[in-house]
Amino acid sequence: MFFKLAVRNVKRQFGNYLIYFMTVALTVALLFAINGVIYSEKMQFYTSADETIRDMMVWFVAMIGVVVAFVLSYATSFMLKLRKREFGIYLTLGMSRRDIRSIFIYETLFICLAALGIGLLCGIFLHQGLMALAMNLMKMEFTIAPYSKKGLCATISIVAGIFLMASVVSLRYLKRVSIYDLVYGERRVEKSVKHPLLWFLCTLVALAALVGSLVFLNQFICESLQKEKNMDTAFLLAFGIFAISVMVFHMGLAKSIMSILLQNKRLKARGSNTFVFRQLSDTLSSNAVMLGMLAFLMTFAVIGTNVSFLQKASREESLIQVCPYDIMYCKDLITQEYAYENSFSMEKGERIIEEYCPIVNQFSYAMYTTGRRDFYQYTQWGKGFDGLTDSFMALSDFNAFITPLGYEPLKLQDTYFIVSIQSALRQIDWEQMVFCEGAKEYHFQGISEAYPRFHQLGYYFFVVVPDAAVDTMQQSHAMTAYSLADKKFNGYALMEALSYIAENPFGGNSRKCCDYSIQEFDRITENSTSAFFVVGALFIAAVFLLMALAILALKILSNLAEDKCRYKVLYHLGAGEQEQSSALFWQTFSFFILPFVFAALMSVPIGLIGVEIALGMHLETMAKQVPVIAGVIAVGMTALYIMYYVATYLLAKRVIISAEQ
Amino acid sequence: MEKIVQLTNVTKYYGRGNMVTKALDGISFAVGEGEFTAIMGASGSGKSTLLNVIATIDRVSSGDICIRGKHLPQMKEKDLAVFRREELGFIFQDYNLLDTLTIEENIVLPLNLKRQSFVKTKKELERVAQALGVVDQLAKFPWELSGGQRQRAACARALITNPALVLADEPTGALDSKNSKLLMQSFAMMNEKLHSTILMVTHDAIVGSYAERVLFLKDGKIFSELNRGERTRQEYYRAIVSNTIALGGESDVF
Repeated sequence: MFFKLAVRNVKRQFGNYLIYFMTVALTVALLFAINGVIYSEKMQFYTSADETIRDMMVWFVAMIGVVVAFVLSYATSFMLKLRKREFGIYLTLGMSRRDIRSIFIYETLFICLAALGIGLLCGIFLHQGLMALAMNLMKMEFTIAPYSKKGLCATISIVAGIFLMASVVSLRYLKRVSIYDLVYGERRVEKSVKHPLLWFLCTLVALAALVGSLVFLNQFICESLQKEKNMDTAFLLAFGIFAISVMVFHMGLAKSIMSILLQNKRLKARGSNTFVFRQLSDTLSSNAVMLGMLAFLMTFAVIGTNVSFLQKASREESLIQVCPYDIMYCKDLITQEYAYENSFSMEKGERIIEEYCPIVNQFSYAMYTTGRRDFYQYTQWGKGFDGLTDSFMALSDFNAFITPLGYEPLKLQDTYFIVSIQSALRQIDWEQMVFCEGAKEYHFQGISEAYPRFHQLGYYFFVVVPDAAVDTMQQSHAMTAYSLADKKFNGYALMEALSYIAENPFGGNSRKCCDYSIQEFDRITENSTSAFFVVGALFIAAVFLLMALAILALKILSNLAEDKCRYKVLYHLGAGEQEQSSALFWQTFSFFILPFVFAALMSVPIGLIGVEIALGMHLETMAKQVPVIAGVIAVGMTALYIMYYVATYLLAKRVIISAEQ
Repeated sequence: MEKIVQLTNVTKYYGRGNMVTKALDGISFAVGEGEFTAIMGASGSGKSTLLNVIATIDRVSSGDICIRGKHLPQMKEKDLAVFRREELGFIFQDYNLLDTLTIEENIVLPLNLKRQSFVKTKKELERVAQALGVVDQLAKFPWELSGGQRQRAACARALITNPALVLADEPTGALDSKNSKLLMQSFAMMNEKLHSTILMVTHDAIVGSYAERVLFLKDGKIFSELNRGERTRQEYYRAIVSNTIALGGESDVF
């Protein structure tokens, strides 16, 4: 009997369950899609080099599942409140609490099962969409991705967890609530906000802290780009202040804004303003903490998504800096840490490359060393880094390297030029450093970080000197850059073919070595790692946003019974449908929009900081992409927001206004 | 006396096909300006339906209701909202004060909805608040007041727009006898001093005895009518009780 009653209830109450159903279904779709990506064989293959990222994602999704379970169980309690009178009547008619609990559990089960079905169906398409996005981010051709059993099982487990959690919360509520409260509603009385001016002051202080921390973070990032500062305590403190300020700002605003507006007698005397302000005053102040937390979640969803795309764009562009030619060969002629007898000769390497793609151009260049630390002694590595010796490149080699890449050739006349990867070296007074080699003196001409990397070995800087200066130096590296006919070859397979095992002559572990940097291989591995980050960040942002929207929507809908009575009075006093609709719009819209405005507006400073970072890193293309990325994210989030708001408003209007006429 | 309300052959049906209920059956009467009229009758006699159709909350099936020259059945929903706002004042059994608004905000809400100027609103507030004795309660919320105070606040709200007609639906239904008496004295004052035209539905003979005229309803028709005339309130009350007994219904008596 209860089963039938539950089925009938779900059918008849579908309007009330719509938001809850939409949220569970979309969450299932998202979980299924992301689990599909994580367990996809294709993604597993390309990220095999970085397994920690995948493991991290698995744990992260599980953690998000727990958060979702908590939020949805909270949402279930709203559903209960929406129907408390109905359950109260069941109890007065003689049904036991156990019966009521069975009915509600059946109902929740139906909703969860239906949402699981619809969610999986949507997830099938969303998974292909996410895979297409991931493949696009990896710059790979998209083919219909197979579905993973593991992903499906993980999704079903998480949904089961959500159902269990929601059931426990509902059972607890139904066990404790009194029949009186169910039938007549928990008595709500308007409580004036205590100390609204103090809360307003808190809002202003939080706003000042927000702006201050943002300005500080911006300055810190700019300075760190120039002086290579690391993330220190001040940075973390500013970030913490920013996070707390977001919450306090929204809490303060929710507690004070309506009280302050109500002080303005002329403003509140206009139309239904008093009614709307009072409705909001109560709702906003009693949900201030929740609104603060939602604003926090959404702000970080915006920041996280933007940062992931920035990271993706920067990695992509820095790839060209790291490996500017299709293939770059580099042989260390000095270090003998490993025995390299298994390594190939250049000729053999070239034959292997030709098997994959024809070489259209190549040129060789070299790095030299004096074995001294004339330059290093001026830097932060001057003391305690004795292994680091100065590196040099002949001007002709340097120009041969940079000219095909579109850079102007360098001219030196008894001068030297420093090529650095760290802007911090600019702070050193190089004018005092006069380099003596081969009985000749060379003076400082300039320093730049704008050039691409010249070899795959780590270095902080090297010095370009006239060709005559290297005559007396020892060659440290032999290098060759290759340009290939096209990039239609398997970078993974070529890397594998060019790799060899180097034995440790001191009896340690042997290691896999490759004397080549392959742009195509770097591109795939970098792209798959950053694709994981972007897809993960998008997933988290979408889940945060969905949860926030679901809570806001259900919070509004759970008060419909009380609101209906109030709007009825408004109707009797002569407020027409338009006036009531307008009041309902402002009441619901203001509540809905409060935690979102700041998050959406954060796209602007994030975009500006992103542009600054990109310019600081000499990534011009990325600087142009950043505002577009920030804009697209803001528009996407706003679209989802509008969808939820419209659904909520229409549902509320149907109950409150249309039914009254 | 100018006729404020004129009902002509008003009929109201509920249901369809064979399940039709005739709630109002050809009712005709008029209410003059400044008149205090009570409508009495047993449960199901059509009292509340009559009040609802006059209040424009419900539509008539046939017939005409004319208030201050406006024919309600011919008006559109949008115009009816304006009409309610401009011409009618409501007093309900359960006060219908908004629990989230202060008493002052509740009282001035109809004027706010009319977009009345701030200065004029303040003036009107002072007038009705003083007349109804709720000046000291203006800053309080409804839940901070007694039932009688709440109902007086509801009266002040009903009167603030100077409506053509005040409609009261069992206004003493939720009050004890002391507060009922105080409220009816307020109604009498509203009628005599503020010249309000009042149409009140009640099943309480004592409450009915405060009205100048009582219309008795039975099965959706006007069964009889009593005018107070020169009678004392006690005599008038007895006449109402006698009429109620003749009606075959029940009435609350002393």
